[in-house]
Amino acid sequence: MKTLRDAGGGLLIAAIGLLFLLGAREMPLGSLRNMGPGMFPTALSVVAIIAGLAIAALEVLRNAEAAMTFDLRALACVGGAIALYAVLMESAGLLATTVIAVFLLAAAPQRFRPMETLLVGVGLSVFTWAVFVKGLGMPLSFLPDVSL
Amino acid sequence: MTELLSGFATALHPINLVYCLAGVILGNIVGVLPGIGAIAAISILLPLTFNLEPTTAVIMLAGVYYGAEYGGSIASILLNLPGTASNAITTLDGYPLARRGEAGLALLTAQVSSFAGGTLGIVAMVVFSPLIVSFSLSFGPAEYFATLLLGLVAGASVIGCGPLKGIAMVSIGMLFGSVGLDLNSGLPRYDLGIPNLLDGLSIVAVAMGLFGIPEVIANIRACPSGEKPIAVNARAMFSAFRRLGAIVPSIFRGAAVGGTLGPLPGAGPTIASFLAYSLERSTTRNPEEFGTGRINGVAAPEAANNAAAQTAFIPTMTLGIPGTPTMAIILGALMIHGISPGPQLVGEHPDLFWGLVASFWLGNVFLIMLNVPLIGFWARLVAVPRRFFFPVIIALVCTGVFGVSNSSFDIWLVLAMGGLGYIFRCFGFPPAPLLIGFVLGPMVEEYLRRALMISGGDYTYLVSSPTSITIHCLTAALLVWPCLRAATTRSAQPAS
Repeated sequence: MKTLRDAGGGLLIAAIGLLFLLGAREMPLGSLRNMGPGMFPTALSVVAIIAGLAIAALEVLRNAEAAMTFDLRALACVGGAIALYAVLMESAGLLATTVIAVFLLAAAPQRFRPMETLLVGVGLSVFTWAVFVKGLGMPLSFLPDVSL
Repeated sequence: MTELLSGFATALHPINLVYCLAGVILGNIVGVLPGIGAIAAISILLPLTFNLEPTTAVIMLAGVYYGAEYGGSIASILLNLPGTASNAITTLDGYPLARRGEAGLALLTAQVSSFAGGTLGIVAMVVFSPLIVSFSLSFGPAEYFATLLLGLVAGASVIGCGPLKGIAMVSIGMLFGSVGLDLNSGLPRYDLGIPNLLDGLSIVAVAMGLFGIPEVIANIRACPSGEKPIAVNARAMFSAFRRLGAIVPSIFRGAAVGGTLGPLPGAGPTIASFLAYSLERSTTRNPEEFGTGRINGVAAPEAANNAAAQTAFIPTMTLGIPGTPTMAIILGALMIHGISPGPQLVGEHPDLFWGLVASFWLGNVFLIMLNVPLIGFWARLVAVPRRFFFPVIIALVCTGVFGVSNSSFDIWLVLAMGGLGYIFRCFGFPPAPLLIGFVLGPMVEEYLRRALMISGGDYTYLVSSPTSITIHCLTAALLVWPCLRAATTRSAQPAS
């Protein structure tokens, strides 16, 4: 797939800059001699927007097309596993969360190995429980919190 | 000299010794396993160091950093896959040597060169750090601002991308850094009404998201390489000792290149190893032998990347300017522990600085003592399929970042940063300038506003001393140089 690779990145940077510029509208700017909290973010947003647009424009002008690989399935599996931790870990406990997350990650490669995945999931949940809960005293439980 | 001795007293404290050993072992493992870099490993470990003393915490995190340089060469030589980016050049001569049945010689060369390079880098740190500190103690806000600006511009001009991309990434990083309470006015910025955002974005979540997660996404579906690592045992290592005489000059050349490049912002161990290799090739009468398995081609880059890994701490510890993203995380770790980086650090916390320097050398001793006799174990670790590591990384990232503030908010932040980092990676935008901007941005703003407050809004105060003028000139040169070079190469080759 041939796309305008730099141009996409440049537009993304300009978009982030625009979001931060909009967010900075509420903050007092102050003056250049006596800056308020809004001055620095506003200036940075403008720099980001200009730089992003310049990158995009330069690539379009140069007509330089670079190949780009974007793996949606890997992104979905990894992102889904992280989201699972965010949603489940506190209520469902480490064992269930880790096993489900490991299965989700195992769905990314071509070959699926159910037994190995289960073993990795259980072993990993015991390991994280030992390190983070027993070792560092994090307020997490191993098994689902049934009192909820 | 007395400071260094008391530093050894600090480093030899049993707890520090244990964490130094743990750090270098972990670093070595991370280095041996291709696919996980030291940056990701340090950001994963950062939450684990919160309850430690600051000195102990930094000793361990630093151990991971330079330990990875040792371990990385093992994967390069046995598997032809660089363990970390700065060991990539080692594959050129290391793997052919191993294929020829001289894996023991190649590995021993890499380990001894790493040790010698690291030691020379530490000597440079001991000699030059106090000089830089005594020079920079007279810095006022104007000089600080100039120095930080230099660090930012240097961070933006990391190789592999034009200055424009670097500036764009640095400014995005600085914008991320401006989230939270404004120090001067106490007003919240970009808090979106979420209490977690008032303290700013956590550096742990940003670093893990930008460096750890995209690595997993990009590699999780990669086909496992059919290549089997080459077998080796400790006896082959020991019997190669007498053949090391030939590499002594290469080690010194490599360490000189690495030690010089290490402190320069934006350079770091990877560039040092590439330059050391090409210098090594230019000093010999038969450069065509390089790439076919010459031990000098292993010795020079391995000495260079380890020397650079040590001297990179000079600007980080003496000026508070991180040259590489890894140093930015070390700086972030110091700040989390309530230690403000800058020229006053060495004076205010001599035990931390000199204890760290002493621990570097002890860590280097640990590494060579571990790696030479235990090479059989590391060689087997290289053979473990990479698919096992991805769930481990994700589990450690998610559980670890949860512990930063015991809330799921930071896991969501990792997800957002990871997605963004992956998209940037696909577009070919490096994440390193973003992280450097994130760490330095708030400091730049603070010193600029403080300088303007002192001078009553007079901007000429920023260039009122010879020191700050010199630093600003360096910054300008750094900005103009790539443009000039691009212009001259383009006019030299108009056809391309």
